[in-house]
Amino acid sequence: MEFTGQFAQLIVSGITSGCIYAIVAVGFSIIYNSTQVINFAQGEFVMAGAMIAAVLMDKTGPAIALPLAVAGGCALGVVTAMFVLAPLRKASAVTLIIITVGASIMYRGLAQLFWGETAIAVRPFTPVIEDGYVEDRTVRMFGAVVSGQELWVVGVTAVLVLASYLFFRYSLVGQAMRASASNPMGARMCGISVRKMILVSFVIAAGLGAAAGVTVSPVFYAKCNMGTALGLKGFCAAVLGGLGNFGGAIAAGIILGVVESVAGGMLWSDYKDAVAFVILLVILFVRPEGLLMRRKRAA
Amino acid sequence: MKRLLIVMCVALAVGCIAGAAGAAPYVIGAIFSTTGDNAPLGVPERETVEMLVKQLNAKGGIKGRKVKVEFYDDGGKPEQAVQACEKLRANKDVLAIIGPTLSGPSLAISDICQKAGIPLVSCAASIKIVSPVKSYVFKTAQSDTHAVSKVIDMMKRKKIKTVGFIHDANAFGASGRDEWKALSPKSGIKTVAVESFNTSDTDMTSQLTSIRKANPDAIVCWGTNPGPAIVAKNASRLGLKQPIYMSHGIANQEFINLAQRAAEGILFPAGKLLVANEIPKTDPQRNVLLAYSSGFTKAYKKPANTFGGHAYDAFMLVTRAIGKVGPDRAKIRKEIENTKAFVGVSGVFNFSARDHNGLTKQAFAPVVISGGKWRIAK
Amino acid sequence: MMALSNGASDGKRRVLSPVLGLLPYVVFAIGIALAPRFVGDSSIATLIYIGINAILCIGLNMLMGYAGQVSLGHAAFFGLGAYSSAILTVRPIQGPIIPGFAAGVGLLAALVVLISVTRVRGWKFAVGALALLLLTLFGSHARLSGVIPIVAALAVCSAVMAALGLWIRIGWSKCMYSGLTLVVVTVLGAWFLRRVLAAGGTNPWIGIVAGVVLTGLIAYLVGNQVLRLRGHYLAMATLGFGIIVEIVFRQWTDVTGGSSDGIFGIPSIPITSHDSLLASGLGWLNGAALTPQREYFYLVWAVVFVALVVSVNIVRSRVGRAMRAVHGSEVAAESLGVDTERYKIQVFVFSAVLGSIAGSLHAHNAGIGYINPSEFSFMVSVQLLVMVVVGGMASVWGALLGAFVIQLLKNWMLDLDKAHYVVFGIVLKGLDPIVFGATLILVMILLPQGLVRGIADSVAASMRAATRTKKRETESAVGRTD
Repeated sequence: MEFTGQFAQLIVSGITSGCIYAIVAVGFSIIYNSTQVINFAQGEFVMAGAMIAAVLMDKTGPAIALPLAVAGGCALGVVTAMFVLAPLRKASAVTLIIITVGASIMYRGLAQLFWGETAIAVRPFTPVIEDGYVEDRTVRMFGAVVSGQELWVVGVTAVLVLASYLFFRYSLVGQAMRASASNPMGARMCGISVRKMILVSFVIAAGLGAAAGVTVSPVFYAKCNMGTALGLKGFCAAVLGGLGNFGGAIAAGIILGVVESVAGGMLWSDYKDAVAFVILLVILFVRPEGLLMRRKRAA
Repeated sequence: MKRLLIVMCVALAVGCIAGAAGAAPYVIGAIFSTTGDNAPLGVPERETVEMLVKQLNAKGGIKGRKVKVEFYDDGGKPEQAVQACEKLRANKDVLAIIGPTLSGPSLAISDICQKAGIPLVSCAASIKIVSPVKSYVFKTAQSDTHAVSKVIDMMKRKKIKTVGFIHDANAFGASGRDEWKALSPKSGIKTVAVESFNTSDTDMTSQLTSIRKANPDAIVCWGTNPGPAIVAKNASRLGLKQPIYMSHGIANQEFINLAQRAAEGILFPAGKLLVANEIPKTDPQRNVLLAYSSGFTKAYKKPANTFGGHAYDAFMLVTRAIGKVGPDRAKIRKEIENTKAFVGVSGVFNFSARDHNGLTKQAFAPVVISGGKWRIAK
Repeated sequence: MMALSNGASDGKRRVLSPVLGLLPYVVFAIGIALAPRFVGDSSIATLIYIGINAILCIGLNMLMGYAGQVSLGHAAFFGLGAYSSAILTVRPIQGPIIPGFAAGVGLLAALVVLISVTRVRGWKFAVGALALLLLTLFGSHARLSGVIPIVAALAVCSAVMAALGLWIRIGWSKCMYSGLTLVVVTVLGAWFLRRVLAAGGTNPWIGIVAGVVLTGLIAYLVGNQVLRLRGHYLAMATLGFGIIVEIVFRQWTDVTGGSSDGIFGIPSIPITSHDSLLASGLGWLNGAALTPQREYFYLVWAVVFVALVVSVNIVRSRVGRAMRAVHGSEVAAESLGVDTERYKIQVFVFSAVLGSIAGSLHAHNAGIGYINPSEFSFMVSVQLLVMVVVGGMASVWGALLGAFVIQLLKNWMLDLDKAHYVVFGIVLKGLDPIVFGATLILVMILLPQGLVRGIADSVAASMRAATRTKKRETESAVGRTD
């Protein structure tokens, strides 16, 4: 009983981190689909959402903080898209990678300048305020203690995933994006502006990231350098599930979060951080197209 | 006759002006980590020194000569500290260097200062800065050795026998772990689990689960924010019943803000500044602590913290020495080395040729967080 | 008439160009020799850092500019060299760890031999690697002292690997070599480490060589796998590698000392004894008494010079041409018969070795002698990237320029922090990430070839424009005469 309780607790924290990795991985996939670029600054979108929430949440509560943070994230997405689009067509893959690396560290530096480098505690969405302490509700499930905010993380992730799915499946813009991803030449001939699609994909990925950032900040604390680790591990998840594969990204994200948590708890806590990167390297060496993607025909 | 008088007055006036203008200020160098992860330590240090310089110069400086401090930021990186130290070394007027904030940068520049003959008064924690002793290198922060000894004392009072140790993998946490490994066996305390986390980690449930498996009497967590706050929250959520001891790395309001209710009952050794109001009037440090605390709060509208206290002590030591022996680096070094019973914020200092830290574990008070505030632990 | 004049000027050009070609090197050498005379002590320290970074950048530049491979984990090789030097000179590996460590190095060497000699791929390689791993685990527990156990181990490993080779059909003799290598390197390695432990540390030069060997082995293995990837996959793989290595530096405290104090007390590298000819020569150049730091300056910049010359030679050689073909279009190069993989791995290993040498020089830095895991982090890799990008990815001299420019920029920002300007209530400090990030973006958008090539191109373009107008004038003049 004791063991299953511990195990369940590890799984719970694993699922929480996993949901964030999943959202970041989805963001990577969306941008990769439209631009063939790995957006290094993906983790910084999450950080932006978290920092904005840190500033607003105490005063205005989640109902206002969330939309504002998402708006802020989208603005950042627009800026990043402009950086990537600026060199126009002559940019090689190396160039674009370096641009997004530059954007990532620049955003981190700006966050540090404006908000300082200390961690900021963020009020949970549904707090319980007692004796002047702001605490989160907790509930017992399967022998583990789950906090209210962690349930919010799972819930918000599910909503975001569903919304993205519906958007890409049924909306005009979504379908246009899928068209330009699978056949850019044909899409252009149909009058779809590739540049606009790239812009939209950045905005969506950024908005998703920011929403995830707001939701997870009460659990993880908002800190200007939180984006780096999240971005890298989210990328590991994206590769694991197959770059560009939506469903794969989500499944891989959650799997990665759980494996990391369990391996860290049961096996090597010192090297817990290395788990994600080792998995990344193994996947890249053995099956770069990801575990969950059907082998694509050579383009 | 009148012309002679006028000439004499003018000469006297010119002489006075020349004299005043010619008295160049005393220059002290300061290297603090005002950016980077450890800015919460370095910024109060810089602010403290700025405040003290202003106060000192308002009183006319040291024997009529003002004091000027050249501040540099090392961002927590040893390489940047070396660059800053080289710049200060190039300035022949620099009489001494205060700082750095962190152990890594301090170790990196200690050889340079030693060879150049510039007294260095570091505000960093690691005992390795002053052991083996280098004649020109001192430090004012309490060492991890003292902190660990204090924690062991606090545990002996509660008859703790087994401990689970979790620490940050950064310099501060690793150093604490090293000292713990060295000192705890001598007091009969057995460490049944050792775990570590990275500074940027956001969840320590895995590590705490392993510790829980080993079932220790108490848990010790050694690190600087935000890691220990996350450890506290995770531990409370896991329902761990053991008392939690932490290090002086959490001796700031930030920890309580981050950990909220999970901070209740946590025990740690802290500089007496945190519990200044509860210090008995017989303690020689009480007045110094209260004066520093109120002065800092008035100037910067936020509570004083122990790290600023290290900078206070360093600045005071250097300026007292200059006041006594004048602008001579070697003499300043000797004067600091011979300082006895200096009542500072971090403790009462007694330096000697063999002890360039000058503190004992008495510099720490046992503190417990109760009701969101710091109290002396029984 | 015109033909005659062309011939004459051609002749002049043929005599001039080798001289002109050597000119930058001569100027550079003179600059290094005389600089300390005119430069103060604090600038010497900065110049030493620039030199070390220059060596790193020259290596990274070869990889990125000529071979077109993005590496975001170069600081790992820097760290491997630094820690090898530091550990072997002041913090020898302790007795209980030696067998395991030596066995690990033996495994690395055996894998390298397996790949390079047999050229296996895919699952066959996995099987071979697994066999070697099992042999290593088994062997690291056995006590290999004395002739008989060693011979027995040699026999066992060779037999196992040969059998394996036969079974999966990759050539039994070639497989056997990897088994032999495993035992030989493990035994030699353990003997060497025990010698070092007994002596309390070894000569810095041996440390540098050991670092180069270790880094070379690791780079070969990593490169072999990683360089098969393209574009962003490669970037991310190198990033992951860099981070794993940094985590190992931080967590494997038994060997590296971890973060708590890093490794300190590392001695400098003496290259002169007080009354040697070299000492007096350098002293004369310096114009004043030779401090250890100034001596170190000469050492570092001598290495920079050598690295520069070697790199330029590689670029001009067949290997360089092959690399540029790969950079232009890997598919085209392959179709022309260029063994792209071998060249890519060679460049990768070369750049890693340069990084290792730079790391060793950094560890032995005179007057500091201290290293810490945070000096080999991802941010450091990014800084190297900025240096290479700013200087120019397709120019070896560009790497040098980039290192200079960025270090001066860092120094300038240090002064900026000191001044503590306040704008709109925000204190201007810690601007490093913002400045570097913005630099990367701007350079990539506006001047992707970097400063050196960008300036050279614009100069060449304006010269071409000038000769074109001159030619038109001459032609029109001639035309009129005719």
